[in-house]
Amino acid sequence: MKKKEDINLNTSFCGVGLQNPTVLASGILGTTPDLLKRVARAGAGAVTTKSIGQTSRNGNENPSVLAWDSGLINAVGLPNPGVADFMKKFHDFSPTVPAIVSIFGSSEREVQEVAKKIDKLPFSMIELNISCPNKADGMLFGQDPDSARKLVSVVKSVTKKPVIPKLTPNVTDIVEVAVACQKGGADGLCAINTVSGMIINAEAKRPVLSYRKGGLSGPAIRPIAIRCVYDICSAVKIPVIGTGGISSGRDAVEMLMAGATLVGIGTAAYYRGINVFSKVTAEMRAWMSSHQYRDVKELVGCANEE
Amino acid sequence: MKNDQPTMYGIKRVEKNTLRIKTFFLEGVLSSSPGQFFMLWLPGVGEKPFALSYSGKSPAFTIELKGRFTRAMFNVKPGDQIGIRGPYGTGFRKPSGRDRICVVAGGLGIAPLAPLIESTGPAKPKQAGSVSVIYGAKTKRDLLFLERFKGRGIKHCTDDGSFGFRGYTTDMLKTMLDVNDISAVYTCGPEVMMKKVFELCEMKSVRCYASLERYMGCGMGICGSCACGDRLVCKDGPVFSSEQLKGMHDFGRYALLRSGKKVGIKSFFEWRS
Repeated sequence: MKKKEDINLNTSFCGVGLQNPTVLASGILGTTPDLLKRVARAGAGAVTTKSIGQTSRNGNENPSVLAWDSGLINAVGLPNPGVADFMKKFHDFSPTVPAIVSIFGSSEREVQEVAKKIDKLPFSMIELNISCPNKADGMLFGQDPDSARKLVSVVKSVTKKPVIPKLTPNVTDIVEVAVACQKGGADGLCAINTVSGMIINAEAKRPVLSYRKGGLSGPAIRPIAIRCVYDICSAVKIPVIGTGGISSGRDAVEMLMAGATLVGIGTAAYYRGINVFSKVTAEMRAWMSSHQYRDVKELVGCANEE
Repeated sequence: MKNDQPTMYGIKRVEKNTLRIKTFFLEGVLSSSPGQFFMLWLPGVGEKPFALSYSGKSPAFTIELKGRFTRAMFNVKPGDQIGIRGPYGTGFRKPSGRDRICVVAGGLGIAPLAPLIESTGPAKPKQAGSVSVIYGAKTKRDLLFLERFKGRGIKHCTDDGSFGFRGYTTDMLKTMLDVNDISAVYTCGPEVMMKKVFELCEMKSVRCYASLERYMGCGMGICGSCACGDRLVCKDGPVFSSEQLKGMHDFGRYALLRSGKKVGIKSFFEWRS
């Protein structure tokens, strides 16, 4: 049994150092600099903003988030103030842990414009959200390998920051899209975004979300996320943020073993509070200690070896 | 795992309080701590947060006509069904026998505090365990629950003097704090009023609890729509204590629009109405 304090959770992703492999997933709590800092204080190794587009959007009508038996379903629908007001809101942002800015757009030019503007802010990486199931244009680039590849290369041409496309599981073959993103010059990948679904309220006789369908997250999708990350990591060389249903230290270990370098955490903040990050890292230490691991990097991809 | 979705409730009766305010009584039982809120769902229209104005066996929500959702709500009739999930958030602390509480309500801010007022006896400001109430509105016509709280010793204020004291609730609170030994102030109403209440309490070193309003998305602490600084109004609040309010730079100053755009508090409430 290793001493817990001897266990090293430090890691790095696309050249950015992190104190532990947990990342606040985009879409959860990432609306203000103060909230991102609070999540950092709660133990996250890195934080991600809510997705930002070129112009202001209100998102979908409520109900837009609900809890069901095995997770959440949401159709928030990319509400954001637009890149200009986002810049104002974050003008004096001084992140205490590496911060990732998530961006989206409905055309290559639009995404490129946002990336160019956002390049001035102190974010360590850019996440390309090409996988939102809750807007007509949300998955435009994420469901077609060729469009994904082109978008990545267009964004890469205007920024020096690492570019991390976030992939959707709502495709026939996620690996095809992952490989295309790598070809386009992606520095890393994030997988997965939510899984498209629907819940009907029987008494009201209609879908309970105003957008009717939504994205499933939480424990129900963890095996889907693990499988996607496992397959992606067998096919690409770039590092992956494994996201989808991670709620405990053991879940995180499982995701790292599938090949992820970092683990995204979002929905678990609903079940376990904002301190889920320090809880998960403490549980990781405990598990690693009783299983003779010293360094978190030893876990990465070990289930993927022949 | 928790399943947290709207349950359908029938509307028993609708009471018209003023030209722009109605109270919707529900079939069934529904309770919460005063100040907690529920998300009300009108299928096909939307979902908004409201606090119970009557709690327990004959529960009700008191709602002011403002936007698209409340317009649809005003068409709801006895026998219709609405979806409800909750309660969410923190409530006002239940007064103990030793407390001397002063409630300061402005406008519709009386609604979430009404069940608390109802559960306490007539005000005897000098007596421990007593709850005094200061309640203000623009004119007499805008005052709610005059019959309900008859004989309760509520100190009413109106801007035009058409009922009770002519002036602001905060003028009255100042006198109250000077004359009586108040242990805590509970406030709900326009944010400019609550900010003033908080400042008066700070000067007198009296603990204040204020119920804040922000645009809400999920209501359960994850979407970040209702952020006030690093606090979530839906989960950490909506009721915040003096200690918390002191650290909330945005209180009385800034709020997020539905898009997440940060604006001055005045623009926010103009947009809300």
